[in-house]
Amino acid sequence: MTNVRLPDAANDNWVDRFAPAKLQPWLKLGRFDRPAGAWLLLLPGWQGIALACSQTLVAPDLILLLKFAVGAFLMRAAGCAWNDILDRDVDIKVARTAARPVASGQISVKRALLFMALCSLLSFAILLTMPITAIWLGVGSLALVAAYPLMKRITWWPQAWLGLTFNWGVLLGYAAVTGTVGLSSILLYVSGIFWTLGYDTIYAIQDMEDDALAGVKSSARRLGARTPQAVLTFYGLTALFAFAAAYAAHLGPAFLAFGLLYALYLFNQARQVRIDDGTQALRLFKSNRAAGLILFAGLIAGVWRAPI
Amino acid sequence: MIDDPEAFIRTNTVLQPVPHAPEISLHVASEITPIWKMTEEALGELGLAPPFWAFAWAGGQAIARYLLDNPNEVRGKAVLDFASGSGMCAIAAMKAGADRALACDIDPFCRAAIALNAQANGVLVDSTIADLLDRPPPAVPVILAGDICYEKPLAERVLAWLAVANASGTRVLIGDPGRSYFPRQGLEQLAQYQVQTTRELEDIEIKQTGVWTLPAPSI
Repeated sequence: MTNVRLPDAANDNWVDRFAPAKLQPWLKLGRFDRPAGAWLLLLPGWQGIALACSQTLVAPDLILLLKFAVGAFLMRAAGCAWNDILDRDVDIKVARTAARPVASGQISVKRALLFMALCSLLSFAILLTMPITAIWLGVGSLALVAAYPLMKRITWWPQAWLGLTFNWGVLLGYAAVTGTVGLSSILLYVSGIFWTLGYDTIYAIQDMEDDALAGVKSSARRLGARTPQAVLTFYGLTALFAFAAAYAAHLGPAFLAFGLLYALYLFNQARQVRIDDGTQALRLFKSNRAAGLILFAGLIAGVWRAPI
Repeated sequence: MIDDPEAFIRTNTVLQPVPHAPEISLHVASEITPIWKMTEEALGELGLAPPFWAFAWAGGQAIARYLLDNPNEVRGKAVLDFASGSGMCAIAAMKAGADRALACDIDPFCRAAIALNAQANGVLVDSTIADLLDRPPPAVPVILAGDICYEKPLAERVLAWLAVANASGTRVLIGDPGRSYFPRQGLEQLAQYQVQTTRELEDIEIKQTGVWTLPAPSI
């Protein structure tokens, strides 16, 4: 069987170039050829850790950041496998997704389920090294993850559910440091939800035509020509709640510079949104890793001269 | 290793009013609880540092009493409780109307003790294990420091750090029962109390304990 390069993976991705042919379908099932999504799952976790550390005047623990990185990639892989299993009949009808390993029959549903279980178990083992509140939050996130693929069928706003799910890491990261969920972490969680609403609406622009044909609902389809304004609004709220979180955590003045850069970066992204340009949409979507890293850096820098 | 610090604290301490500030109750070791009798080796096997958090030290009691009687010192302000231990001073600050309190202690076990004690007194106290001596003091209106003069090098380091805070406008309150390395010179006494402690910790049961501040910086 030939391994078809998926259209939304970067052409020079390491899976197509270096991975052994036998492993390729598995790596594609876990989306390791497209790490953008894993980064978007990881960054809220790192931001939660950075927020908690700066609020309590400590430097982030590298081991904890590493644990979150491994966990995020594994859970993203599990989530994608689950999505591909549920969506296999729809994926065949959409150009971008027809070659996915489960939809195209490269990997059986049963083996995909096994892959999912393995990734989840490894993540769970990592989770068990954290404080009890974080463990419960981690387990609780499974309900959000499991329901996400179903949300696409029943609501025009699956992005909102994705936001609740993807940004759960903010609360988890915060709890992993402090053992509790504080006001500042809840504000940052809300900020993240609007961030996801924004970037995933951009992402959905790629699928608008196909989604319409397949009858899949998305916020981009729903918003149509008003999509750029909507993204701008979502990003405005993202920045607002990020500043509110920093204020609630009593971060120092260095956060302001990074927070402004973050807001500008998002504004610039929203400004470039075109509903008829899928390539541009993917490029803008991917620039959110940089956006998330800017906020992460700002939250760390916020410890400097923090007033407690 | 202790997996659940909160459960350990609950089983090995009793919740008791602080002798000189009975408005506050703390989870403390007592004659009937085992950690009282534990040697440092036994504690080390459990992964515990000496449980400074399990006692209401005299200097902390004096600061707590002073804040409860002089709430204007902290009302509406952010307060840092340095080397907090049980969280007693931070709790007193919150009871006296502080806007928020951050209790810091480098013993990670203190976080659980501070959280439990704050809960027992119906106040919210943030905590951190950051070693704040490694950096300039945070920009905060009030710093509380009880019983910091046990060892000479540490006492000197802490007092120098507090002097920096004082120079940048922070009100520094120090509680101390006149320990060996407590320098009276250059300090201003605000209050004096006869604080009841325990013979197991101190040489005498009633300790004459003062609350001191650093003189306001001249402009």
